Amino acid sequence: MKEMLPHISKNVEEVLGSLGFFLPELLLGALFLLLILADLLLGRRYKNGSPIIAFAGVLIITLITCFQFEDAGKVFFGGMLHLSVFALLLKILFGVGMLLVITFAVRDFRIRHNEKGWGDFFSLLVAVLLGLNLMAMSSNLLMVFLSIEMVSICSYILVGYTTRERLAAESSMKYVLFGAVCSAVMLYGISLLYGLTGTLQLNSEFTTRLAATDALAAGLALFTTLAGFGFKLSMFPFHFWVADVYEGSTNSVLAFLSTLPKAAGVGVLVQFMHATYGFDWATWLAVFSIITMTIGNFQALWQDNLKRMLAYSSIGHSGFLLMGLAAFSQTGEMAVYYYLVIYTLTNIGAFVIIGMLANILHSENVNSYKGLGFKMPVVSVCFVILLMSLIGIPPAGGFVAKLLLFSAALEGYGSDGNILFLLMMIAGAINTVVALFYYLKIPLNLFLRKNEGMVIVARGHLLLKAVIVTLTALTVLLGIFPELVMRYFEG
Amino acid sequence: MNWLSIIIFLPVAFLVLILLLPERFREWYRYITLGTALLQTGIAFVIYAGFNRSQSGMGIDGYQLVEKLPWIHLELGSLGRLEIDYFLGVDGLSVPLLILSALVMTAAAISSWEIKKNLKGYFALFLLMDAAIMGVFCALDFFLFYVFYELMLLPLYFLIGMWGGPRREYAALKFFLYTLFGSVFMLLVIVGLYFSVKDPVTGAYTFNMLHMMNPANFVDGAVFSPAVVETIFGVPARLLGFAVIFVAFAIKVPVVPLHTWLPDAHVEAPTPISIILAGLLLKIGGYGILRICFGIFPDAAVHFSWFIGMLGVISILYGALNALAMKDLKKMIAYSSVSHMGFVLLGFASFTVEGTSGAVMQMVSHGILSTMLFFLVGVIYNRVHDRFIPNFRGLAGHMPHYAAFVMVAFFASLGLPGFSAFIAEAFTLIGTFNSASVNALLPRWMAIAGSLGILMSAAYFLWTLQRMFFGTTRFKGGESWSKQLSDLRPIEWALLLPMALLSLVLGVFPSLFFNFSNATIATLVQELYKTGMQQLNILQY
Repeated sequence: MKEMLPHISKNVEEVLGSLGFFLPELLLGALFLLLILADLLLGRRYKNGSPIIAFAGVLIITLITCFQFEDAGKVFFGGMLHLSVFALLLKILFGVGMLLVITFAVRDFRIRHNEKGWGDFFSLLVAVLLGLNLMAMSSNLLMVFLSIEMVSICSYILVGYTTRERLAAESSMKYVLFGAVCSAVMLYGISLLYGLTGTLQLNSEFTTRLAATDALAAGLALFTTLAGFGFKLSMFPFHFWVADVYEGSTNSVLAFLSTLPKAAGVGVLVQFMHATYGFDWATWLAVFSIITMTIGNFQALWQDNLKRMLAYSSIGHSGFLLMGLAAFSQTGEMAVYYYLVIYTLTNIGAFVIIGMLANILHSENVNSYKGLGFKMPVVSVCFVILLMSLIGIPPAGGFVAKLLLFSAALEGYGSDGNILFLLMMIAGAINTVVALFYYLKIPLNLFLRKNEGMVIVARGHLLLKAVIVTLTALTVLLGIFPELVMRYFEG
Repeated sequence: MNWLSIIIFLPVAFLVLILLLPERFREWYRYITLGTALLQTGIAFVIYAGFNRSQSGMGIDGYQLVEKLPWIHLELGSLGRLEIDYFLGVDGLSVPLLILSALVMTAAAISSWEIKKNLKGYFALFLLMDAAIMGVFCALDFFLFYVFYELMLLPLYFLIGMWGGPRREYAALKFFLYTLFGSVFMLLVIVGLYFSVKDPVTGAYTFNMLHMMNPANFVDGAVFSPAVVETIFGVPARLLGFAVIFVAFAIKVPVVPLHTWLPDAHVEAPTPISIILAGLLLKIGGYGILRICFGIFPDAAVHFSWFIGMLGVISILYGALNALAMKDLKKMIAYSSVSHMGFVLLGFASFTVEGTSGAVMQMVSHGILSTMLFFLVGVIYNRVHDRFIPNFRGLAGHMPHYAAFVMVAFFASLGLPGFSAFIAEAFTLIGTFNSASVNALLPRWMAIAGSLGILMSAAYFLWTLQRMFFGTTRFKGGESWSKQLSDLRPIEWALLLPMALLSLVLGVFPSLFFNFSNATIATLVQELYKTGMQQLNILQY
């Protein structure tokens, strides 16, 4: 016992030294507690108190995160967390995305008029943001598991926040069951990895020891671990939950669910891939990429419910993300990050519009949008531009994102001549055309079809409209000047 | 900021103006759009007048009014730098098409007087498309070209889909899907190309089309490098790359069997959009084939010339046969477009200066004539909402001025000497015929088959003339139609007369065009053939 004593002071020093790098996350924790207290004490008198505190807090914390670039590359808390540039950029993306989600939730009818109050909702969003940040930075398998579980559990509650409705309860249940199974499988994989390598740290030691083990055993362990990330990424074969859960969730939760956990999943996978260097990720991810994007896009063809359509299309987008990951290069990482930024902005924008229109029309069916383009021209035009970005048509940002992904894939082909890269690119091209086919249903109904009898009760949606226009403008701006994002990778 | 940037972004500026003008000024939108188009025409002629006709070359020295600004310069980590520039320039090939664009846009703006609803949306989309079309003809950076090329799609989708005929949804979707299908695969080749080409000065990967056209700039061992034979799926990569881009543009031209979107889109689109589709969009296909497909992959172009010529012949004959069978006047003209654009392909494939000059002239001439033809269809359709050939008889007596213009347009289109189409088709056929003795790429019978196409076009035009315009006056709609079918209005005169004169002027003084573009096209054809043959020797595995 006595010989451990010097270690304690060293450990304490290390922990204290790490706290500086951990400031945003500490603040998020404090904000979480503050929100709970604020809701308890002030929630009844100031209804808008919680969202305002949450928004201001997240804004400040995101700004603080922006100043962390000088700490980029640090490993701290005894190797538990690794603040890579990629993780840092993801953290900023999470912060911005969360600000948008909070703004959206303020005007989400089902959240605002929830009988349980909405204070908890915002504290949950802050908690999930903390989980996402940890996910992006985690460099220890235990930390990976903890952070994924943190995000998952918060997400389960968010999805089930409106459980008075049957659909929400059902989807929440499905989500929990599927998530629990994936976590269990991942935990099993992690235990195998620990058994094989004797360490949980995702570092070079882990890499060398894993490379020395039997390929079959290592492959089995890696695949089972992949279940956890794959669930977050909604990649094949862990995508079955997506459509049902999306359909049952309220739109503001969906705006969150379809974007940020996916980005975090990418972040974890990137860390994991770095640590398991030597495993033939390219081949496997290419195969998963082709299957994922094809399944997603082709299933989206048959959907008339916009939530389900975007659910399947988000699976398709996961396929595209996997394309960049399969290339596993610096170009690939940049492309994936850029894609994530554009995808997050456009998808949140799309769900804000769907939510806003659902408030007016009480329907999320694409056929109920007939002739809406003439009644609400600004929102409809923004919707079309956002969809163009999702398809990948210039000058919207989605085009540059796709171009960069194709570049990464071709670079991958150039470096090892794996024919799967070419097949992946061809699949990507075909899927783009398929995506056009179903996305165009929306402008078709908005503008090409007439509905003379429609009466729109115009209500003040100024906040949401401002969000929509800003997101659309950002999408186009980033499409024309991608350097605004990409320059953070240089240097 | 030179004339090219101005001609491209002028419509954008006026687009913003239209968006800002409140709805009660909506009648002004027409005049703003027409004014924009006229200004562009003016600028186009300024460019024409200031153009140095003797300047030619495959590199930057062959282009005038060059403007190059750095746009997107990315550090791609392991890959090195990526360069995308805002890079414009014109040569003897693009200036005629630029002038054509401005003229057709003016005609379409005049023809837009028939549009009565949602004027703000219509003219905003119209101007956006205008800017994109101008941009396509000026862009020398492949990325920029692609952005403009794709930017046309969305406005066209809405213009067809919102202001079109009864089956507009189907037609608009089909048009969009066809074009995107081609261009998405083209994007893959673009990615491959920029990975293969480095800027000789900065050493960065570049989208610069002029660098892509120079075989010296290709990286050794790159996918599309002409120095070694890379294969993809067992096919030489350069041949595959050519084929993919060719298909993308062939859909636009359109080449049989990729033409099936055209009759639907042309027929369902409102008159001004039909005019733009036939007058400009098809030319973008032809321009792309010559500038990009042939320019970047000359070896594959020489290799496939027989097939390209064959596709041209098939388009000519198949389009003509279809036109012969059509009862809908607009559909007949749409198929005649397919047939006439076949000559463009045939001329390009011949790899002779006469043939290529003829083909480019055919694009200009068809642009003018199809504008007239579609407008003439629009004239009767707007009056009685019917355009079926059997429903009209003896129009010549009832609408003499209209009939006169129809005759001019028909005779000009079928290749009557004195009009532009005659010169264009004659040169194309001469080039095709000579090809056998000059470079042995195309057999002589293709020229003969092409002439057969002219014969058939005479048949369908004359037959239509006979059915609709001659004989005793009798309409399906009876007395009410007689009243509605009034003769040409001043605004219709204002469009038709200049177009007819233009076709006549080009037919009588073809040197206006030939002297202008000869230096460019002669260098282009000779250089392409030379490098094509050299590279083909490497490719002959």
